[in-house]
Amino acid sequence: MQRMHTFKLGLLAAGLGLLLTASCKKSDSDTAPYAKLQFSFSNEAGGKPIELGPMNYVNAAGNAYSVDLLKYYVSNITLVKQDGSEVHFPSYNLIDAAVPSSTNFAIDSVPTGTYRSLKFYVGVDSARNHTGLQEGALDPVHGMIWNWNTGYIFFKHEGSFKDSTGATMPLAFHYGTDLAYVGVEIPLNDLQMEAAGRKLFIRFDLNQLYATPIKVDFNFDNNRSSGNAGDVFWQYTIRGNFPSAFSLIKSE
Amino acid sequence: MRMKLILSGVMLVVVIAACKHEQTNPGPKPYQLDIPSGLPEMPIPADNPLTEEGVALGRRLFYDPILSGNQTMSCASCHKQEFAFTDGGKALSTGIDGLEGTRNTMPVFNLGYQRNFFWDGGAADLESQSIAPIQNPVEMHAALPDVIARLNAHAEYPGLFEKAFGTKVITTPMLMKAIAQFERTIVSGNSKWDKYLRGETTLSAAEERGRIVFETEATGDCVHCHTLGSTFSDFEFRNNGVDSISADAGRALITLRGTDSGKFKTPSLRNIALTAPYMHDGRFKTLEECVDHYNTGFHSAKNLDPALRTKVKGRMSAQDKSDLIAFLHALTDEDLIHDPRYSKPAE
Repeated sequence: MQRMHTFKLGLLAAGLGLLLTASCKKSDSDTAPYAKLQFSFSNEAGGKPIELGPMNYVNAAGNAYSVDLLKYYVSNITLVKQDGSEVHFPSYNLIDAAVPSSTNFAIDSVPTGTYRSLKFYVGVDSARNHTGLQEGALDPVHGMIWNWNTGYIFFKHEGSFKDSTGATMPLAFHYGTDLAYVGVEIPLNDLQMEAAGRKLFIRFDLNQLYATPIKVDFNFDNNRSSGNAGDVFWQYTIRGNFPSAFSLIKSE
Repeated sequence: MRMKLILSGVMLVVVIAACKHEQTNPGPKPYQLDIPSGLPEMPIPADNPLTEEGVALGRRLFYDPILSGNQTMSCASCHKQEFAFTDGGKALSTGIDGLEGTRNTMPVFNLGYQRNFFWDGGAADLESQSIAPIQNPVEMHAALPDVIARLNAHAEYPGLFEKAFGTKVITTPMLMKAIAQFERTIVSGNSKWDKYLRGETTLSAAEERGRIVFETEATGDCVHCHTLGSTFSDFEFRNNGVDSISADAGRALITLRGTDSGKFKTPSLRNIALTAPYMHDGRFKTLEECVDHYNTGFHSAKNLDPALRTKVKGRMSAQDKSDLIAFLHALTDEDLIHDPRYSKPAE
């Protein structure tokens, strides 16, 4: 009987130890083959880095334009392995041309291996696009939420442009709503994700966004949000162009 | 056996204690929501439970012009308690820059029963709704980062937010939660009609005849959309034929479906005698005009609601109309407009 008790006590003690460990410890990632993948986004227009203010850029339609404000969401990053399997990272990052630190972010635990491509979305998925009660990049304080319809502005470009008469006119593009959520895929050329980690340098080219495959002429589209019937064609154009606006500069 | 029980108990305590952080603050106290009998239980979101501290904070914010761009307007500037939290007779309300909105100010009561907000349902939850008027250029026209910075720099708000949410660094979600908490506590369910249903009073002969008009398909048929009972609305979106072609796309702005053009949310008829003028743009000044609209005035909009499409014009007599209006007056809740829990808090 005494022995039985001792045995039970031993079991209990073991259980206690296990519970203590399990209840406090976070998932065990230090032993698994994971590495850190860093991202660095470079906002450009036709090879020139975006500088806020001056009318430095010319789009494919020949419109000279400036950028006073440029912000967009990069979300739900997925990495595609060589065998076609995918690793998903639910994530929301707001890139703001006025905040240099916002163009750099990282995923801490990417399985090591060989990757064929990088996928992400511009915008916020419908599961997270219908309440403003969210923290971090989705906190409404970032000025990326609509007032008329609960949901996020996925992409904002405000500035000015020279119209066909040479006059300087305001330019304001606010892109969003569920139908605007758009996927982008960038080839990674069999990127080796090593234990030491990697860094991807990604270009976002505004001139591509306004050119490929469909040209946007600011004389016709210069004040577009996503709430009116008149915005729908512009919205579809931008959605169709987004995939071509991102490309890999290099990996380190 | 006893040994085992004691050990299990000890184990549990150890496990809990092992993960527990130092807790000196007991946390906010749960708020007991007082729902008058006859109204259903109110669904409260799990991520924003009502607390004494949260509700008190939300009330203070609701009345504080600190939330507007130039700090001259509060939520209460357009949502006045004496008018069941509407704007006292204005068809359209004016914002801090003297600009008018496009739709009539909606009342603030029984909001916890609604699925979405605004005339077109554009706000998907009450928390999200709260920051739209704060930012809207034709309303309070503030930049959220400024508002949050002002609150954080305030002498009292950081402490009040800490009591309600456990941290004194104020963020937008905390602001949204506090305002929504206060709004959920504004409950209206003590009209003469409610008291009649509870057996505490009787309806006058005119009110009783009006109730019958309200419910009878061949005459009023108001009940079709203004569901009789707790909410007096089905909260669906309907085209009620105020225009043959609506200048305001209404629900279609949100759904982008052409069939939703000119549809607006069925408003509650509770306290309707206090919330003039009427319709999404405040075009009707009196209840008489509203009843006339449904009796003879409605237009054959393409997507006119089926309940109205089948109605004969002129089906209500003059007597029916005045009885119906007598009944609508019985939906006024004097407690709502005098309840000190909803009024501007003492400075």
